[in-house]
Amino acid sequence: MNPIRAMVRMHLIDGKPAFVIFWVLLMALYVLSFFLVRFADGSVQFSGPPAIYIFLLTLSIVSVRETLPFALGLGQRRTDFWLATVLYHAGAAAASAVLLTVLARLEPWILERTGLSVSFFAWQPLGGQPVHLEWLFHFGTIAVLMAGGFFVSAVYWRFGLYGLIGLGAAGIFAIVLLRLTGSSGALGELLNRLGAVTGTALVYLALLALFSALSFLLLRRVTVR
Amino acid sequence: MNPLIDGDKPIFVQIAERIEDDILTGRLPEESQVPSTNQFASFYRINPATAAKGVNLLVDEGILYKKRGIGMFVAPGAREKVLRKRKMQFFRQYVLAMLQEAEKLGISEEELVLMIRKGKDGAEG
Amino acid sequence: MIAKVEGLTKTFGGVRAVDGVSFTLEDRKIYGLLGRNGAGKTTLMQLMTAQQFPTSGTVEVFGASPYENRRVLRQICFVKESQAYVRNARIRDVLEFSSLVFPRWDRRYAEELLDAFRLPKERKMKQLSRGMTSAVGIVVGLASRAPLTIFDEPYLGLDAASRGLFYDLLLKDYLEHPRTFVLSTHLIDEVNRLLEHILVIDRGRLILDDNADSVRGRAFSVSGPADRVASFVSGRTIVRDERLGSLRTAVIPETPDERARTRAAELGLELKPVPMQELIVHLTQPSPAEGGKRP
Repeated sequence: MNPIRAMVRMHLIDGKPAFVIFWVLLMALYVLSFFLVRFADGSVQFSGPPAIYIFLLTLSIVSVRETLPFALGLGQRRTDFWLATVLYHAGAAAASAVLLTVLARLEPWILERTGLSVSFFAWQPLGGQPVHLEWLFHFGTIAVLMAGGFFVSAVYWRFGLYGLIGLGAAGIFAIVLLRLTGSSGALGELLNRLGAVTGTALVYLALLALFSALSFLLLRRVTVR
Repeated sequence: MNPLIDGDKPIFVQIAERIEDDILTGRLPEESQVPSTNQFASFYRINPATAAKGVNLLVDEGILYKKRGIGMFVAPGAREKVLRKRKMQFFRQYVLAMLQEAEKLGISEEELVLMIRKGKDGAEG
Repeated sequence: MIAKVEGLTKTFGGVRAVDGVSFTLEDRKIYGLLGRNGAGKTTLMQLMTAQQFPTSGTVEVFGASPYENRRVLRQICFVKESQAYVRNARIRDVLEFSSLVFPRWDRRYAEELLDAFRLPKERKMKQLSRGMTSAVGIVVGLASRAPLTIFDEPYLGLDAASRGLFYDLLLKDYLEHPRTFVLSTHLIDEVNRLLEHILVIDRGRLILDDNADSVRGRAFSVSGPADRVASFVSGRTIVRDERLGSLRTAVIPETPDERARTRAAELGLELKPVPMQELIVHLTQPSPAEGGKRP
């Protein structure tokens, strides 16, 4: 008798095909990039992680699409659904981060063997970082993105298409405001003062908390036809 | 299995009548146990509460009685009660109707009696 | 009493889908929630299961509001025709989910039901026909053994034989493991005999809340030669009147007593109860005057 586990399982069943297809494609592209570099005599820098970020962001927006009406339809609590989704996202983020980190470590080895300049998974700023920090960075970025995706999804389920439009408008408005008042500069200063790692971590945590809380509040009033 | 006919008599009445039929034919002798409401429900595909209503109808008329914790039984003298009841119904349903029709056709009382005799002898009118 | 609804109202835009509905549900009874399409049945059931929020009024199930209440919600299984499934999930995944979510889930019974409806466990939900999807819903509803199990038109796409199978299985399980069932449908005559209590919704309002056998006996029709019928019905209220040649059938909204039966027999008229379907249809027609003679 464990509804949260049941919903996490459903999320996994829902997401599995997409995961598989994505990673197969990504790996195919990776292998392809070696051939391209060989013949075009150039180099590839860092395409893997952003692709995964975008994929997981999309997944987080879409993953609620089928599981939410199903779960609510069979009498599940919205709170339990929220928890299950958060767990699912966290798991996806953690696992993807592991994959990314491992692949980034493998790359230098491959580069030595083939002598080709393919830097698909490694990222310069992260270059010298210890393993756990690299993992943490990937995990954090993905987690924030997925929490954001969940939030967008929650807006849709609560307010429908108009809600999304409203959100989009609010987003544009906020960006314009930031630009005009130069507040984005303030963010950069904050990061400088706290140090890149701590600063990023704090920002990430704040965003995570914000998105998660908003998703929860929105979900509480969601109804499904 | 005889399906219950919908729209004829109320379902619970039909249940009661089936039990009465069995009492009349001797299928359910006095002091024998009557099937449970669940059994009726399952057999006729009806709600057990409806079956219970039919059974209770007969309990109210003294045709069945309840033995606590065991079930429903045919009461002593049930057969006579059922016969009386059915005769009343027969009178209403057939005799009165027959008299109506006879009057319409102008058949006299004497003719009627002759007809009845003929019918009993098995000849055709 | 396992559920109580009081003054429940739900407005969508300007429309009152559910309008001041009040009733209670008892334990271990089979209820029929009847009414035309769009009468508000589905909305009412959604309100009772916290899948919709009331505009006003209260819902109490198993002693508390069902909203975000796991203790209450896990005792309810609400199967509806529009139930969404995760498309990639297989039938066995849906059953596995149900086993984790309904405390009284009976695995073996679920397997038997799958066989009875010939459902292939490994098939994906997205590959199922409409009828098979409905059958999955039925399996979930029955095997949940939830103390309050609600079926909202669960047989779309099911052929008559499968529907009959459903009714048989439902009755069988009800006899062995009594619980409260609510069957919402417009196919009244098919489920009629299974019902113990009737709730009729029309245009959002509860217009009938009564024991099924009482409702069934509530009106009778008398038919025969027109002049005889006329003498029978003189002084009585009629709610329907039909003529065919010299024959006439009148429907009287009363329970026929001994006097009525005898009188009918004297006049050579046929006296019959009015089938449930007809009663309900009559109740939900736009009526001219209340209880008056119809031209």
